[in-house]
Amino acid sequence: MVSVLLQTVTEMKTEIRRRFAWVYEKLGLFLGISRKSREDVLSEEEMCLVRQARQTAERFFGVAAETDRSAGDGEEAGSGEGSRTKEAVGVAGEVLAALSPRRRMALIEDFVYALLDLYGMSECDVMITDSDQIFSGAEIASCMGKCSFEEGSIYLNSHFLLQEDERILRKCAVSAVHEVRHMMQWQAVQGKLEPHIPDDKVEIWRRNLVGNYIRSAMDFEGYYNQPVETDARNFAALVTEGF
Amino acid sequence: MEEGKERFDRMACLLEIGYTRYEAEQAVNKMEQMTPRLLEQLDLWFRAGVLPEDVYEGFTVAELVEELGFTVPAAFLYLDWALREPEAAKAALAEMADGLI
Repeated sequence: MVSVLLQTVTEMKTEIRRRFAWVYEKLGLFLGISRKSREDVLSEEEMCLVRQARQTAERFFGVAAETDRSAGDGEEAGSGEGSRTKEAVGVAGEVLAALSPRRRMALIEDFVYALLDLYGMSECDVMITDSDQIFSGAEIASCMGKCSFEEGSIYLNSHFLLQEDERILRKCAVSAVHEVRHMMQWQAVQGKLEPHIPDDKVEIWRRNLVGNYIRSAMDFEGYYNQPVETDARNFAALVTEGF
Repeated sequence: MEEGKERFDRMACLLEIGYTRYEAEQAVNKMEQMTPRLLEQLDLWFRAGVLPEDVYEGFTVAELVEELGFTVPAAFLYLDWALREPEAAKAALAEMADGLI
């Protein structure tokens, strides 16, 4: 009798927690005050960095294809997440697919070095590799890039750059920008990044990166929705929109 | 009391398979809100290593483990997300994954 009662109470507690979490999330989204939406807003200075990066992308991939809006629209600043709901339109995939694998790897590498230079991170390295020490097991077919803060290196998975599919090749370019943003986050946390990032945002990154990072293989939802990943996706979407 | 022991056991299993303390705490918190049927199956895996063959939103645990390199608990957590928010969970999976090393 007691055990049945305890079981019922436990189930009720679980259900109440589930419902409370659901209401909390929906209410936050409805009022537009969720932590996620606040963090996603880019400052004017950061939008300037985005515009500079877009100019760099233009040097490598040509003029961006037209989309519903450009990254320069002030009011839309930091809303790159929304733009990704549309079918990706871009020229980077086409440009990369037209090149031999060796030349496309060289182009992506030069593109990343140009972005690193732009943000004052010239000491960082870029490596295109399929090494199983970097991309182990299933990662070779599921992980496009990695960032090593300790080594100051960005690793891009060559497996994807060998594909002829324009959409995959475009994703490689987006992924490269995503990894550059992670490197910027770390440099900002270290106080070494020249372009100014608002202090409260850097503090959120610091809390996430130092001991509180969730790896994709451990909890994909947790990985996907953590601040540094949301920010890197948002940044990469703004930089590469139309490319 | 029983609930506390379950939490402790799940934490211990996650730490044993390579989760950091933070990852394990976050995962266990989510497990406590997981769809009961999935949690039952996950606890069976923790206790006896038995994987379910059920298909949830087009995925099985084994597929997520083998093709995407998820740990078994991560596969359950993903299935729970896919049941709660199918579109968001699938869209996220279609995007690139990356990592910090």
